[in-house]
Amino acid sequence: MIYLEPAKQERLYRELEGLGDYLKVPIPRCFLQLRVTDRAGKITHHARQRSHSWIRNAYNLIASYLLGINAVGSWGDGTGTPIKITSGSVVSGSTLAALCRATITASGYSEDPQDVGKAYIAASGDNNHGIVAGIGAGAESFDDYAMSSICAEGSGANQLHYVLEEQPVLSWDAGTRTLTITHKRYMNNNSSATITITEIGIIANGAVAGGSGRKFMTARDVLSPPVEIPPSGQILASYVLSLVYPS
Amino acid sequence: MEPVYIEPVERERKYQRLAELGTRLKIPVTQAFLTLRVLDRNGQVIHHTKQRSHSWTRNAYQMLTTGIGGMRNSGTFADGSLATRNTAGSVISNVYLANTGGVSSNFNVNSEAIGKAYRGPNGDNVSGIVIGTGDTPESFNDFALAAALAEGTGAGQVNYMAGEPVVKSWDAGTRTLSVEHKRYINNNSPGTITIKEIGLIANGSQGTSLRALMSRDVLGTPVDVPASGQILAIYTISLIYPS
Repeated sequence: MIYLEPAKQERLYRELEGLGDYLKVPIPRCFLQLRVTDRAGKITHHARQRSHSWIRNAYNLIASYLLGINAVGSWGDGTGTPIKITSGSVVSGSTLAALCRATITASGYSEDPQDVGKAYIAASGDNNHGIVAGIGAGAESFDDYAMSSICAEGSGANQLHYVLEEQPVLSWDAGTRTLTITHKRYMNNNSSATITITEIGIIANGAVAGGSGRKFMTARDVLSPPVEIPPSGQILASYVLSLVYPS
Repeated sequence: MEPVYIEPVERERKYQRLAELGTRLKIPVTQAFLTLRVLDRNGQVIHHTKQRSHSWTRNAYQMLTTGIGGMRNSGTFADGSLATRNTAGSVISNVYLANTGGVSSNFNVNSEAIGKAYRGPNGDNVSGIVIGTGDTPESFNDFALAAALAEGTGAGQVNYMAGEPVVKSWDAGTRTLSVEHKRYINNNSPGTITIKEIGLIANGSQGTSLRALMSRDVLGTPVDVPASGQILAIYTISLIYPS
């Protein structure tokens, strides 16, 4: 696998992470890995890079969690920490935002963030949830809330078949004291032509304002260079999220 | 009167570099400060300091990891696992996400209400900002104060006021969202109480009610609260947004 991050930028990431470790401040890391195989199963692309683009939704989610505040107010700079769902609507209410409805109701209903359809675990064929791919060239923006041009589910031109998201994999590196969560999704090109992927994103199915089923994007990465998936080929996209724990 | 900032200069530089890199690389960096102000019975300020809060605990890391990673809070309260530990010492492990917002039906909980998240109710010493007389060194695995002060007016007891409404602010220059969590605590006992530790306890949920210590700071220099005096403790938690 080729590591694409420029050396100078990588040094800055490592300095940041070293300081976080020293000062005991949690610094989440996120990597994006892409592997493309052709119809014969041969790997035609395999690269890893930093995911550069936590978006405002992710920040507002963290604010709800760690700062102990509701997801209220307006979208944008300031004290508002609402969530903007993929349709473009701003959802604001007197509750915190969460990746999944996390409580038990009076009837005993419960939600598991690792169930299909919850948090990042997208169902088969669902291109509005989980890891998704697109062909849009819109530059990354902190205020992104949807893909620039998402690939639809299907087998027509520029359409992909989105496979059921894999169960996240949790791992621990005792040497670096790093906890890692890997979210993976396979997407197949069942069309008759090559698809050039220019953007990858990850969309949560969460809860805010007392309601669940809110689809909101938390990261979007524009690929440079783009990645081609040949007909009958497959792309495996992995978001690898990790946090270094202090000793 | 502004508080005296007591963070060592060299360490402060590191915090500031961390914030700068977080903004530049678009990585969410949190900051936490602890401000303490003590008044005597005449209302005179006899102590007023501000420092970095150094001690997010494992519970805070677990909540962050599961909160943005979409994982269950399952397993053990140890390296490589994602459970949380409540202030009673019980490890809470199940399929739900942990959160600071509290238990209710339909996830309809106001995190800023008294009794939720970091706003402890009046007289409650197991949620919100709490103080103690223990000086056991800070540990990443802390789940309770070493010796939390009980609610009351007897020797070594204090009256915990309800946590104040949260105060949010936005600094456009540093692109920082800050939230102040404040609590007044009165010493209605007959003697001086020497405070050595401060903690921040979330009243949240993880499928069931969860009181989780998120941060514990042992004070470098203990702080005396005289009889009939008052301490105001403020945790200011910030998140630096990228441009």
